[in-house]
Amino acid sequence: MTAVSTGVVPPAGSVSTTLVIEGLEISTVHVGDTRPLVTDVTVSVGSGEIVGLVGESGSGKSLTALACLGLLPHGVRVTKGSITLDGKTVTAASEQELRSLRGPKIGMIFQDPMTSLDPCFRIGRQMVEALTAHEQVSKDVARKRAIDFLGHVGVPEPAKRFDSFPHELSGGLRQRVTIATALLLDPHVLIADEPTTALDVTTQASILQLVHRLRDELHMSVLWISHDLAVVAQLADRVAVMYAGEIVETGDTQQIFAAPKHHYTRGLLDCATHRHRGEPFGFIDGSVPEPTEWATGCRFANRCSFADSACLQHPEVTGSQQSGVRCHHPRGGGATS
Amino acid sequence: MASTPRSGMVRINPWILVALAVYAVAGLTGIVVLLSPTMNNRMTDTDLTSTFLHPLSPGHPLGTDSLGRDLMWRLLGGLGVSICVGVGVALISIVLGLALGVFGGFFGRTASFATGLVVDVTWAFPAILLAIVFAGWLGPGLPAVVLALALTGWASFAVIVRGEMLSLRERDFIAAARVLGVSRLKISLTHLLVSLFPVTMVVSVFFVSTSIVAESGLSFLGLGAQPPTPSLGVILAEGRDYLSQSWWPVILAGALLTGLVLLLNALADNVRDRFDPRSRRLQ
Amino acid sequence: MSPLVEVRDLTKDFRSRSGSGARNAVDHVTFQVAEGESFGIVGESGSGKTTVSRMLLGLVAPTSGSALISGIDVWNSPKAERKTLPGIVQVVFQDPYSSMNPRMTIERVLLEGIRSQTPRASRAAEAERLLELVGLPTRYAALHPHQLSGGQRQRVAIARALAMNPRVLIADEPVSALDVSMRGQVLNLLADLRTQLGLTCILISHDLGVVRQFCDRVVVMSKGQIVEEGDPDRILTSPTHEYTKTLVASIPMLPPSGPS
Repeated sequence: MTAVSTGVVPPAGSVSTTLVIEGLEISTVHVGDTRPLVTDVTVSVGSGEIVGLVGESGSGKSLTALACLGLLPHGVRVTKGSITLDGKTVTAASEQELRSLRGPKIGMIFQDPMTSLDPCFRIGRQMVEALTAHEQVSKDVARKRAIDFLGHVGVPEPAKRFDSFPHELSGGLRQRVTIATALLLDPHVLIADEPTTALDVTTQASILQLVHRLRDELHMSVLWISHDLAVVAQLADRVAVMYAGEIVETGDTQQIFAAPKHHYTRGLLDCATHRHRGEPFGFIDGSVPEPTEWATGCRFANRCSFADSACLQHPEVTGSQQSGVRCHHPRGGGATS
Repeated sequence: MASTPRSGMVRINPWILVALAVYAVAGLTGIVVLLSPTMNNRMTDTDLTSTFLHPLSPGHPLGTDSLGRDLMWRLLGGLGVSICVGVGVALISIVLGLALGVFGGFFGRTASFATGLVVDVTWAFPAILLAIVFAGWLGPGLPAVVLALALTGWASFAVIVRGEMLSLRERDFIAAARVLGVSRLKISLTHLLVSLFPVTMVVSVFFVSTSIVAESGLSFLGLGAQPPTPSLGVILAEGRDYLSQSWWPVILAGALLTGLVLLLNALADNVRDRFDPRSRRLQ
Repeated sequence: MSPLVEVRDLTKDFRSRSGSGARNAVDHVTFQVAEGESFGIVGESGSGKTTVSRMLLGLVAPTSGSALISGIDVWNSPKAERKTLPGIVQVVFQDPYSSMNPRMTIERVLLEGIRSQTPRASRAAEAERLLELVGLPTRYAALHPHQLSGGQRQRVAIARALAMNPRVLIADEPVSALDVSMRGQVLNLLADLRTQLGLTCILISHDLGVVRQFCDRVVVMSKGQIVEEGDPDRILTSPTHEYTKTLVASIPMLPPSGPS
């Protein structure tokens, strides 16, 4: 992979980087009462790969993302499993170790660029602050790098924008700024939590193009979280579908969209497919359950037209990690025990 | 998403409530005795043969003041006055503040402009000045004080309400009600006042506290309760002249007043934690 | 036959104190909607589409221009005529939680517009009728909004609007705040009710795909102006205006899926 010749983009292909999430369980821990919110999540992002994590509200996708950075909210903890980054275990790391990981090793972009940027300070200052927190560089060098990256992510007149306040920029530009800030530290893995959901579709299209380009140039690994199947289809190499706190299907993007194995995935595709005038809209009967309402068997069974008595047993994942499904009666045959 | 835990709701500290109940009972006793034509002489009878009696003297558990009047009854009466004035002024201020705040915030641009003017003028007026004016007009005494405090106090609350209205009126359920044809008055009563309840609760408690202090201050200056009506401020003023001889009127009245205000402020804090949705954490 | 909804040169200028220019301005918007038609307004944020709907509903006063519904001028007709508007045009808002008072029961929410006309004895029955109309169990009448899912709340919002027996229903991004798997139910309900009750629907959305499936005619708005108008299929396949072309090109497409 060739790097762009601005002279400041770090060399491509460093240590074979992977983010490995294994058997992750996240729960709220109140006085003597532990309630799981995410169970048995296993997914990995290889070097230079974009993995899409798809799910609706309550699927646990955002919590999984936060767990990767050790940023779970108060009262919510990882109770089982592990997350390793380049072989280093994040879930067992101390706060100090985590701080050294956040930024240079693992970066994050959030949904709302207005709240992820401090409205009181100019964006340039925030970028420089992020950089100098982790690297021993002078303010001038930091400034130059920041401006270079702003240009690199497509911010027009970067030197001028460096001194802007967040509210002076449009939503799309702000999101580019957060991407630039994350990239400034050359993370091995970038986690993006619904970064384009709050943006217009035209702005979204250009951000997606940007991420593609950056992935190609910087050989970066990306975990892209979204509820929008179409966006994930455009962007990701592999997809993991989450429902009610667990992964229900993983696979190659093309394969998942062409022949989904899980009925929920099939349902989601149905909903996202546009039809002709007058035709009914696709939907999945019922509603997404709260963690307190999860069935002990298959959590999707009450909405699935293929459920039977076998589904009272909680299904495990069959197939490989690269291409698996959690279902007793997956589409395309192959029932699990 | 985890569901909101109901068990996490803050409770009002029971100790604060107990202490306030004690005050309330004492104050009520004071009011009853004060208003009773047969009994209020306990607070007002002078006895120049037993002046400056120490506390725990026979017949006078808390001693007597410079005119031989029983301090315990006077303090109870004063407490009663404080509570009456405090609650009374707070009530009037809250009602006025709500009415004008909602009117100014919700009933259009002219209403907003008009109430804005009234609020600005009122707020600029110092309560003490107004009390002196009313004292000149009505004669000094508690009615003048109550009037002055109530007519100036509502402004700060109206401003808070106006601020709340700015965000409330944009809420979709208000817009939905407008589109459904519900009158603005009805919307104010069914939706807005209910939504304003938390902030009203917090401010009310705080208003009681500030009104009590204000009344005591004005009475101290001689503008409030007139002799022989007791008031904590009056007792403080009278006791100040004879501080070297008898410290207990000042100390007792001061302690009672301080205790009451501290309790009310603590309650206000507590109520805010309990009711203010913004400080409540969402899971 | 004269159109049921007629918007002529509708304009809204927001005077901005910081001088950064008009925000959400609406610039001389003109369109008509015939009775029984399903009409879409498509635009991104800042296009002015929501402001147009608010002017039609009598919530935001226009700077100039007119909005007529069933011959009544929303802003200039005599008060007696304007008072009949709630029985003619109703709305479903985007956010199903903030569009109903969380402290009210579903029954109270449903009957809010017709409470004064409904005798106490028949209120429960009327609430049940409305719940059945939108396919919700009648026992929901005693519940509170937070006990229902987003999709169910939206159906309550639709029922509340229909309680007024309107001829026009404006749906402002009715499913954008809902989970993907639940959107179809609400949209299908709207489509069914439309045919069942002969409603005229104005659907406001940023999602051209949804509008294409739901609407007979659509206008595309950008920066306060209508830039294109016509058949949704035609606009998707061969847009003429530059902005529409960009919009259509930006829509992420799903790869073709296998047999269902």
